[in-house]
Amino acid sequence: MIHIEDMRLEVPGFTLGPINLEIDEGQYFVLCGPSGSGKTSLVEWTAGFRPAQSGRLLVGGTDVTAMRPAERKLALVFQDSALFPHLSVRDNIGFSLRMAKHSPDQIRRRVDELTELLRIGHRLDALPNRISGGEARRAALARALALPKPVLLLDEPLSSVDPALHRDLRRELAQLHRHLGLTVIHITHSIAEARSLATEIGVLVSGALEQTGPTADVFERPDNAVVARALTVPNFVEGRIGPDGQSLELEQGSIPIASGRGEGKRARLFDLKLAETAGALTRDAELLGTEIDERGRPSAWVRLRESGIELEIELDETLPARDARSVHIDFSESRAEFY
Amino acid sequence: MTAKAWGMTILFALLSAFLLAFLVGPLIAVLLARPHDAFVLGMRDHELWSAIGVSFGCAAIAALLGALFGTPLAYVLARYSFRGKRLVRALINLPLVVPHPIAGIALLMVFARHRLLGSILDGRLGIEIVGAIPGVVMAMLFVSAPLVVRTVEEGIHGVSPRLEQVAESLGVGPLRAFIHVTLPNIRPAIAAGFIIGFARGISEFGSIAVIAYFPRTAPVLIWDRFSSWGLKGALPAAALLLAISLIVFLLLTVLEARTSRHDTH
Repeated sequence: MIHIEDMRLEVPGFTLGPINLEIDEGQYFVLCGPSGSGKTSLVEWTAGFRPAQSGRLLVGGTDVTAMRPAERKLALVFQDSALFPHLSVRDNIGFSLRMAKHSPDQIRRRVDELTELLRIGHRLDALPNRISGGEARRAALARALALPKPVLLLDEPLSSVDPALHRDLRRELAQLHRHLGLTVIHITHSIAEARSLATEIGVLVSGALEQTGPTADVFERPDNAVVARALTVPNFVEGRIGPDGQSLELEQGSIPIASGRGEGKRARLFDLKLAETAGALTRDAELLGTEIDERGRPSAWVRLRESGIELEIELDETLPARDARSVHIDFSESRAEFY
Repeated sequence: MTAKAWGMTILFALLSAFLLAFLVGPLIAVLLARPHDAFVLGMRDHELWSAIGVSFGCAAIAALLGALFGTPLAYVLARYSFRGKRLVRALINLPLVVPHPIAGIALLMVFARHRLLGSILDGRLGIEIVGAIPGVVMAMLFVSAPLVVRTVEEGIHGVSPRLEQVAESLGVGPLRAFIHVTLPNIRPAIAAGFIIGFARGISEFGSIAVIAYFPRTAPVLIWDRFSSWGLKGALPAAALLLAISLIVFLLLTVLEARTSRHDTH
């Protein structure tokens, strides 16, 4: 449905691309990347607001690279909703229909349909500065979809909303995707959004599209340390299984592993623990900190002294002493999955 | 508040009060001038009324022209980046630093009967510039346009370019996006620009006196009276013009505040 070929955009001090990307019809594709990675430039180019040094964009098989924004068959929602402040919610949603000279009757019917779908029917006569953030986002979605388009392009649609609304809108986006059979491109820096919505993701870091693929695959098997870091995938290491089959040889030094599965030069480590005392299957590490994730699970964050790699160790109730600097990492049950 | 903070507050309040008194005091002196029937004398003065008519009419036309030509220019300055933008901005502000009689002379150089544009407008099309209404309008436009452009540009900066992009993605070209989205949202800025331009036009004297001493605008008439009859002769006209100007600006400002409040709520 979407085909991006050799897209390259250069501005002083920053290069985006070359980007090659293929998104199949019906996918919910989340392009994930930290701020400054070039996400917005890519959206602006895709939508037709920004020229690039090179690159072709095909939508549904048609080359739209030279087309004006309106002709690209993309429905577009920006992060701040960008509702027209002088128009009521109803007139915002009906804008494209009015500009396309649809009859008032047609416009009313389509607006009603969309507002029912997005549950903002009660706010139709309000001006945008009188509605809540969630309503504004729903109205912006309805406006983008008023003229049916096969592709929905969302630029940080859920940024700066509170957690409860974030969850509601996430669910509504997923519903909308299913209900309307759209191909969605969703740009975000939020890993939670990528995880919960995407059928496929792409990871963009410093202007380079590092990896694309089905969501679970990418999260389970990041291609490199950059992707692992961007997606906060813990305990990604690059190394080889040792000749004895009981160790993982890193760039510097090695660590013991109890079992290894698969083949390859990259691995994810599981079942690491803290040990009270040093032993043959422990390694010394510097304790960098402890933290508690969104689900309330505590973990320690350590750097191995020998190899310098950083690991995340899930903790049971026994937190390391508050003033501890050094800890021992127990690899006696460690499991490495190579790929 | 600490003693130090009090000290600063008092100092700043005093300095501000001096400036305000300096600005407003003389105007009040004109309005309260004896004889108190200066207004009445002014009101019966047909010559003065017609001069006020010329002033207000021409200033309105000049401010409208300023908004008409100034809005696209303000848009270009606000939205596009191009080589020489700073130069363009400097050129627009030039009329603000040129002494006004020089502005009048500069306009004469172009619009006098035998000059470049004057020969076309006056000679071929029969539109008199020098010593006529169009001359007054041009002088007012020359001095007020920079202020109009500046005010409208500020308004455009307040409208996110995203809105235009959204409009384009919804199926309109850039011009229709401007008309249907940007323009309605900068209406308050255009109104403010019009008012500022209008006010500047009415207050203009120097360049008008050079390019079109007749038909006399109110400031030219007042100057005329002052130079012939002194303070006493000029006072009735000055008091009346001042009062009318204040009332008109008050009304326009209230009207503008109303429409912009209406727009944002």
